[in-house]
Amino acid sequence: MNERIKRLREKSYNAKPHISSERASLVTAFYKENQGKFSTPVLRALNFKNLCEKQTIYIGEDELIVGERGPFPKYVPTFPELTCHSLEDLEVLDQRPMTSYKVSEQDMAIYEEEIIPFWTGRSIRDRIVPNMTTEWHLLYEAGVFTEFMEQRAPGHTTLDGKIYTMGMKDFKKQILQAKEKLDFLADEKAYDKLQELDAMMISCEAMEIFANRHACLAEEMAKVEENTERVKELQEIARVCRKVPGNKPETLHEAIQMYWFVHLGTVIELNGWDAMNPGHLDQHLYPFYKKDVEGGSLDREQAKELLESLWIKFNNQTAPPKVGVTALESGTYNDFTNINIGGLRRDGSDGVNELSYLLLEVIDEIHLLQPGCNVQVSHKTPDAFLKEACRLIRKGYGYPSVFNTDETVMEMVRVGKRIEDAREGGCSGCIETGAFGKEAYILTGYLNVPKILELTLNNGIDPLSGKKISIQTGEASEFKSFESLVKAFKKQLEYIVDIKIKGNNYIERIYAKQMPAPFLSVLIDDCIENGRDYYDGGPRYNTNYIQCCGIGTITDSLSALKKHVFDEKQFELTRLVDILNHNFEGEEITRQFLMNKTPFYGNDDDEADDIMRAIFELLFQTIDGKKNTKGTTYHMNMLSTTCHVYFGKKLGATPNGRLAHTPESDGTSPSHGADTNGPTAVIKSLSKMDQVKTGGTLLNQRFLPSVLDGEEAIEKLMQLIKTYFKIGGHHIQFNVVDSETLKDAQRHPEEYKDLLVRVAGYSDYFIDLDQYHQEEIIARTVQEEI
Amino acid sequence: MKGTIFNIKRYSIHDGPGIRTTVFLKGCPLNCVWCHNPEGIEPGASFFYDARKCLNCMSCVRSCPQGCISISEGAIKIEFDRCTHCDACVKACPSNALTKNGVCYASDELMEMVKKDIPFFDESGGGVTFSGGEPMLQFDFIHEMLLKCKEQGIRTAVDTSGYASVEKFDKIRRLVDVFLYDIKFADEADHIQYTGVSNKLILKNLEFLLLQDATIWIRIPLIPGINDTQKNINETIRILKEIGFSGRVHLLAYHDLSTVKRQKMVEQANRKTKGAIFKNNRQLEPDMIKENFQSQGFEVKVGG
Repeated sequence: MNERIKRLREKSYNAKPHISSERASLVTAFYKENQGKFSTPVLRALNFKNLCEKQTIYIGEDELIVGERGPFPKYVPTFPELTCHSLEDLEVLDQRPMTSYKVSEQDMAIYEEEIIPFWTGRSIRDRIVPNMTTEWHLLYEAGVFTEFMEQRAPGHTTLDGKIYTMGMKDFKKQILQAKEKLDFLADEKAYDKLQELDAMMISCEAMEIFANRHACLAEEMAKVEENTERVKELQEIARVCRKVPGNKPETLHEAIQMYWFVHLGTVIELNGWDAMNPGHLDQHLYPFYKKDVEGGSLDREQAKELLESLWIKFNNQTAPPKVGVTALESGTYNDFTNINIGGLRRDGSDGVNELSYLLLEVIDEIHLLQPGCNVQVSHKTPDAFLKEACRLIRKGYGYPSVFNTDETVMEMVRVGKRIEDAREGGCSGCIETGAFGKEAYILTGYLNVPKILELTLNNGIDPLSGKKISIQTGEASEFKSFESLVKAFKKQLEYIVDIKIKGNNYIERIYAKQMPAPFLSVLIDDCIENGRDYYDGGPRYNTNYIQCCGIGTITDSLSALKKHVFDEKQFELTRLVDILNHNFEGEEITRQFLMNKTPFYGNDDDEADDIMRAIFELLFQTIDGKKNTKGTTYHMNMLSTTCHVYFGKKLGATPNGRLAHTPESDGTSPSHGADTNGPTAVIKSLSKMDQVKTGGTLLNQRFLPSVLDGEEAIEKLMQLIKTYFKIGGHHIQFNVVDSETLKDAQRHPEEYKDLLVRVAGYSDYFIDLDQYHQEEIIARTVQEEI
Repeated sequence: MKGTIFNIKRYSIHDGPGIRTTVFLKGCPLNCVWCHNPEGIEPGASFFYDARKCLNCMSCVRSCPQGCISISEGAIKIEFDRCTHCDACVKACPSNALTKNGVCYASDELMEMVKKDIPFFDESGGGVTFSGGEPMLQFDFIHEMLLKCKEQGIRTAVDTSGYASVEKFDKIRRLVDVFLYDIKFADEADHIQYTGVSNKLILKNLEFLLLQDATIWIRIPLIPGINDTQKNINETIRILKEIGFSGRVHLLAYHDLSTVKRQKMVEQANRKTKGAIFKNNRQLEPDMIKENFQSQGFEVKVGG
């Protein structure tokens, strides 16, 4: 890392997140003036253009790659048109101990006087929540499922390589061609399409304006700059900003700046979930790198400097925090950019190139919170590359995570994507599978699967509140066999999934009608061709996902019931349910017995793993194929991010001996402490899940550094990963830390500011996690060699 | 045929090449004072009792059909002469404070366990390692297991003290891909003092296996103050060269985790393992010993 990058990194690391009301103010004033004058897509595009023309822009000292989402690094804009922070939210954000967002008194006053009065009742959230049914509210409030779209817009967007061969001017030509093809005689949608295409056109212009303003600023700065070296740099920045994104890039510097402007465009336009991701950055940038290096205009170190400048830009963008109760609960918050390295090319050849290795080096040197990254491993990936990634894993940054490209491709082909598009896809967000640049990949919310068992055991009543929140499927005393219990569970599951999807399909139309994203639509095939928005079925692929949580907890719970209640008849079901509803009070012996004498998931024991398979299959049959509003269907993911902690809080004691309100199992990992046969057994258990039927699974493994000492251990780590992938694994990630270090970090957080751990699908600073998550990380099974 | 196994450890990465499953067979003719697996010394089944886990629920006492268990003041007493090894107590213990060392496995049953990690063996060049105890003590069982492994194409290793008849080694040598062969002392008197047996047979077998072209990794546990002396290292090198060994040498660090195990072992009247802790008396640093071997042309690794 050179001195410039050191300074930039330090600055980015130390910058404190602030809420900036600038965007909210501009949007509010714009809506007051213009609402009702234009069609919705055009209104949204003009709003975007207004922001690109007026929002404060920033070029910092030392910077080579320029542009921020807010007025300064880590100044976070808000999106009141989606969800409007209350004064109380802002106070909590300002004062909470974990990663606070500073809110100035002036911003607070602007919110009170301008923003809140206008958006109350108008924001998307205010139009969603009151319109959901009573049944939905009962389940939602009890923590049976969550809803993504009440906080942020649908997102999860990852780009393919088109922006490296086309500039905004080229996109505008495409849009014009699509407009020329519109047939007002035969196509009843022609008007809607025209509005959308006009909106796209305005968005492209907006993006060019935004870049040009940066060029002007750089020129102004160059005029007063005394350092002649910096003058040259500023002049080069100005030149680059005049060229991209209007035109296609031709140098590595231009290509990186191109991406960065486009990235900013999408996150200024809207606040999508897992906002934006460049996709296969090594493949996209390699031609520029090769050309520059061979042409002698750039050496490897200069290329690295540019890439590291981009890395720091990602870290400058803290995500806008949530509103409502969750403002207090969620700690650090980022945009989950997850850069894919390696994998396959569209034609099926190996995607690893020289830049893939250089990116690993960049990651090693920068290792900040964002961007996250992953390596894609196919059957064609060279061992040398995976081994290099394993060496990076050993350092304990929590990334890169590792994905099985072959499995990912099969997952996509299974749901009807073209093979080339599937190969070009990979991971977006945490572990989710997507076809980059061609898909609207909508995560709709998490499903608390163990909670559904609790409702089954209590005949639709939530034992935590005593309220009836679901259908009646029989009292515990009526279940005479394990099969009859599973049958009742199935009915509960079907009811709950239907309620969730009915809600989603309503919300989906609100976004399609009220909150289109014309700039994002320019970037995703085939929105231009179809004249339809990203949120309205414009992309080539439109998929919806429900993320199922707690497969470990429910498997272990059912395994305990099967063995001890139905097979060996050691307990009456009604008595056990009573014990659970009293959180094992005075029943520690029973709890220990259940925890220690039950076959648990994660041990390569078919007795437990067969139950996992049966539940997985039930989830699949219930969710997969359900219709969304775009003529396509729902699928499922096996992912919890950090939601297993929230869901655990909303869940009473469970038959596997888990106490009430403690976290559920995460992702597709076994319950904490349930796996006692080492990592190969965990992997074998996981491999029994037919992962190809999902859009992603998540396996956390924690290793002590001692286990990964030496080249031989690195080799064995690689073999472990390759074996998991050979037998059908989708994803695996490693936390390389020991529990003593973590406990010490809890005691002396100031000494561990740098300690990154893998939380779920992403890495976070350990000291920024709340105690729940800290304890949870410590509790995860340690694969220790004794 | 049945064997008595006290542990099966998957993802074993320090007991031979690749990712392995190590099967620990019970019973050992040696009685090394530092033994890391003291629960493996007795040939028959025995028990662990972990007072910290015990809930004092008396489930074990109540469940015993022989009435031969009692617990008082954090200590368990089992009258072994009346114990029929019905395992009722172990099954009844809710917290796994009472567990058993030594489970009988039929060879087919054990093969099913071993086969579980074949995908990992294939990818890593690993396989199964028979360890102990001394695996050669249950010779007929291990012989049958080795044959079955070969039938299934599973690579094998035998981790041995070398203390068994030469005929037995002759009978299995073709079925074993690598012997992990312990050399503890060069001097016979030291060997007898600290392990209870002479090293003559051990060295004879080593020589025999070398003559038969068996693949051998020598393993030397470094016990501070006991065998990490310059004298013992020099002598060991001399003997190995004399026998004609020139391959891999693994230096295994001492750890005192066995103390916890010894505390947990339920007292048996005729128990012969005593054990001791070796901590502050290190003579030569492992890296120094490594250099000693390397300078004599051996390929050395610190660790398994």
